[in-house]
Amino acid sequence: MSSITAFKTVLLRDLKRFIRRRNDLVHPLVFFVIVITLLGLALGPNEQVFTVVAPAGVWIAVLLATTINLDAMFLSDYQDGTIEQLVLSPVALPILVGAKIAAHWIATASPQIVIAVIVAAVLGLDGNVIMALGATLLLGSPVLSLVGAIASALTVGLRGGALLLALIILPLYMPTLIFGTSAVHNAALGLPIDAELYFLGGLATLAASLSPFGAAAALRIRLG
Amino acid sequence: MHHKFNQLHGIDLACVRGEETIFSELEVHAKSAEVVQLQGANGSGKTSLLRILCGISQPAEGSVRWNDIETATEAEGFRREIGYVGHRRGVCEDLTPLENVLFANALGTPRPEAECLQALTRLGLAHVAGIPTRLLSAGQNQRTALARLLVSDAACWFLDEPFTALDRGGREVIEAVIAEHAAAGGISIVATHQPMTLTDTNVRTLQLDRT
Repeated sequence: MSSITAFKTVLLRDLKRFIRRRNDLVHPLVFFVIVITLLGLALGPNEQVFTVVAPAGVWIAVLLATTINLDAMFLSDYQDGTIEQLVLSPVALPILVGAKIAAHWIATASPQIVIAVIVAAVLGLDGNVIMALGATLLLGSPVLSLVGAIASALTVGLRGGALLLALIILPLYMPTLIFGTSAVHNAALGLPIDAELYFLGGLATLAASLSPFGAAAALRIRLG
Repeated sequence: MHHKFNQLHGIDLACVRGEETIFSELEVHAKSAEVVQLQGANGSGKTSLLRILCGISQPAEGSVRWNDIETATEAEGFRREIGYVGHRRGVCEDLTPLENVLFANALGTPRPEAECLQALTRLGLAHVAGIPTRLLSAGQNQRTALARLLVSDAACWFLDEPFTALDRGGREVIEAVIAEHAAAGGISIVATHQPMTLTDTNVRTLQLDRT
């Protein structure tokens, strides 16, 4: 069977599973909205402070929501033995793992981007700030999922794995966060943001080409 | 279908967990139409040996050969020829038995849905083929896992305690399936304490207890 068919098979299966298990879809989104709401409450009604801090707050909320959801990427498949079956299938494991990461991104990260843009509009941020936020999230969130996949695979099935995973992964999210927030900041000042977008695109490409191999190797280690 | 002649060789295998050597200098040999039963007390390494043979884990020493080619170097070809049902059954609880079998099947040799349904019927799952497996019993989950083998072209089956959670009827079906697989020239490596009643089949026993 060709690699593309295998990729599609795993992708569709995982999406079907996400639809059957709506908790995994809804909880991160609710968490995301709550974090933003708390930020709004903490900052108070000072509009000037808010417009400066809100985009950074949205980015932090995305980081946190992604992180708490990362351990779900491989956990249930590890526990029920599906990962063993994938390892033993004749298709190269990085392709199958890549499909799982893609499904995870579609199901958990892409709704967050939509909500982030809506939230930014509701908060009354400038049009070009909202554009910048959407664009940086679109390029940055795949990096979060891809890099997170390696750590998720390394810690899958470990006791206390979820916290360990957060400790491993949050420092690795720094470059994405720096480029993402500085682009939004520049947009607010009316400056060009091309450089940051190129950097985020570069990071995404790098992560997409390496992370499936890293995550596949990590899964093999966890099974071995 | 009839399988061509195959043989599986485990040469000088050793398995180490932490500081402890579970087994060493172990030779395993199985050829077409044979059933090899792995026996031994709990902790004697039956599961570890199965996982080493099928390639999920690496042996501390030694190698596994499939038709005289090392499986570590020729992994893709070997994986086309094997089926594995372990303690973790590889059955996703959010999918139905039919979807589970279809998925496993799609990654190996795709077969029509009718054939998958036939396999489920044989294992007594026809009436629950459309219900998510989380709502089914442990025995029905085990049957789902074993149904995967029926629709695969695998020549070599690795079964880890296949009779777990099965009732008498299920047990008899699986024994019949293993015997048929052997008659078609397939190999089965089965880790189980329980005696198997396989008609007209060449069963060899490998005792794993430490000396």
